[in-house]
Amino acid sequence: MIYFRLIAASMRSQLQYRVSFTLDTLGAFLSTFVEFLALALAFGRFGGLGGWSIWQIAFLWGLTEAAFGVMDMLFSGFDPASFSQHVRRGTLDQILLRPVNLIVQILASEFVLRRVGRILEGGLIFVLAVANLGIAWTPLKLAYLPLVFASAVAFYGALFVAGATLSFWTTEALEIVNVFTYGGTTMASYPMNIYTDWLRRIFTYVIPTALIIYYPALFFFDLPDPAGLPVWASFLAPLAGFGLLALAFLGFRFGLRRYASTGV
Amino acid sequence: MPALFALARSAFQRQFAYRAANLAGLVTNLFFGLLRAAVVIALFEARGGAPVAGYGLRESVTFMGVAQALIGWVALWGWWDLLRSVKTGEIANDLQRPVDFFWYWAAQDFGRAVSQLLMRGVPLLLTFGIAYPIILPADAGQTALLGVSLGLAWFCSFAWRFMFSLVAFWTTDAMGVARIAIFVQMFLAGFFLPITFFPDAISAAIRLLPFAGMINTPIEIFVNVARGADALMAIALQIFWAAALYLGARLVLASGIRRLTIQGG
Amino acid sequence: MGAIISLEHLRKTFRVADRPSGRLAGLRGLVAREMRTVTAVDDVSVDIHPGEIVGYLGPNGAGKSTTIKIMTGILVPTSGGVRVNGRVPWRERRAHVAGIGAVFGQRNTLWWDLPVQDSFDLLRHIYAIPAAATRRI
Repeated sequence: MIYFRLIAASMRSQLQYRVSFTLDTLGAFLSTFVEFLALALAFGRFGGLGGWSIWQIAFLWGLTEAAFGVMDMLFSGFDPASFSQHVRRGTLDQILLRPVNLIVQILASEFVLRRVGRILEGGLIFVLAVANLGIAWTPLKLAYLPLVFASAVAFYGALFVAGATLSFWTTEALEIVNVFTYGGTTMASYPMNIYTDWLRRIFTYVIPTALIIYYPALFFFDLPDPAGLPVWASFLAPLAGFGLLALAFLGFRFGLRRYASTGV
Repeated sequence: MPALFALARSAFQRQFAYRAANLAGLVTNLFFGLLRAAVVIALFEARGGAPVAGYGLRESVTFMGVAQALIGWVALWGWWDLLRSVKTGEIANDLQRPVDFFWYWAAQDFGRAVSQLLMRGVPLLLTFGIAYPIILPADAGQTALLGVSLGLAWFCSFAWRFMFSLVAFWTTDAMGVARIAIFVQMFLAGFFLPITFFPDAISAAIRLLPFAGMINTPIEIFVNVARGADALMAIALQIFWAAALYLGARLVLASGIRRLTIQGG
Repeated sequence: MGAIISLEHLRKTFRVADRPSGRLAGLRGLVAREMRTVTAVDDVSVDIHPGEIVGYLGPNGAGKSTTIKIMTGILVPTSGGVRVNGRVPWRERRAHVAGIGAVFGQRNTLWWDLPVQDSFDLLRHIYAIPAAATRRI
């Protein structure tokens, strides 16, 4: 398939520069690891956060970071920061002139391998969490975990696609998308009950960040929801993740009508 | 001197061209500030609200707001102008200007920092202060100390960034190295949490490094955790590092230029 | 024989923001932003038949590239109709671009970070050209 050919070509050229690749991967690893390290070091003086232990938070943190890292790699082409460059310079023309599905082409247009650093960071923290938590695993939990992960990848992918769509309207104010992408991952790395009501409601009902990792985590830990949502709220993640991604792709096709192809 | 002033002013004004970007950045920084406040409040709840080494709940919440407000002032997320100019070779032009190279960049960065503080820092803290009760410097003396400490924080951060950007003279991977440095530096500067919150031995060691003076020191003065002799000691340490980093920057610049002239750019 | 390319009353307008200049321009821009509509293509109709070779001339900014970009499916017109090879370019983009060729000035269709041969190989796959029909250079 053409997607894999494009990706393979891009990976080859990234791996040519070994030193640069290693440094960038390490940078991606550290980018949020230092924040977790700060929290973990301070935790001794406090002993808890919203009733959660450091390893329970590590569970949220690791899962969120790893899923965001995988998304960031797969959806690099839709990364609002780089996609908006194509819109601004009119280089989307090239992609539009090729007889291959548009979304496949954009997904394949960039594949930033160094994001593997963030996946490793999330993975490491998640493994440490699971090793220290003693979760009562059941077949259902084991089966649901990969699905939760995939839903999280789709969910954050939807946010990237939505941000990319926004760049057809503005390339300047695009940093606002960071509130939902980077802000959303930070938010999802902590238990939702620590946030003020309006913030928690927005990120449950409007942009359902809470449904993606936090509610499934309640199920994995066999905890009731302090905000009173029933148990099935823990199983909405796939619907929210993949549903939003489908919506985002539809919206993208609509936004494309506004593409102005500036330049020659 | 008039040349430096003109450079700073023009850099200051240039920032206003990115109106939408700055507004969006302000909203993002504020959002993170609100999240961080929620985290620190939850931490203190677990402790029954008892203070940690002078930091009560209000001091800690204020710390989060001020830390977010200072991001632009010390260019915490990276500063690539000089690094890029070394990479592209534009630096050769700048070196021929009749203004000292270090101060040529310092003046421009100062203009950038002031406009970031006014455009993003101050509005952020004002809004943050509506959402959460914050603490202000106790009196005029404390405010004066804060001013001095903030100035030194900017200078230390600039000298450090200047030195680091010049790594590009020696390696094509300077960007990757700088990115790693940024994250380590954020941790060591106490950007995420007050340095005092870390275990005693670690916090004592981190305090001595130059990074604490870029974020942690001015905020400790802001929230009145460091007062009187403590504050003066912390400022003395900032002055020491400012001098050391300045010398370091000069040395690296000199050997970088030597390399440039030998290789012919 | 009917027209292979036909444009009917083609119109394309863009909304652009005016950037204020002068003193405190940035500050003023924060508050209000003036938008203005620019008409790039204004009521263009033309029929081109198979075998015809056509030149399309005009001064800078006349809307030549915009017209071509609509014909290639890159842009969607504000109003009016286009048919090329019996298709509406922007509605059936993939089928449309598989059958046309376009070269724009100053635009590179290769990958800057790949060897030329690899770029050509990729393009061969994209346009589904059998290997037997190509020759290595």
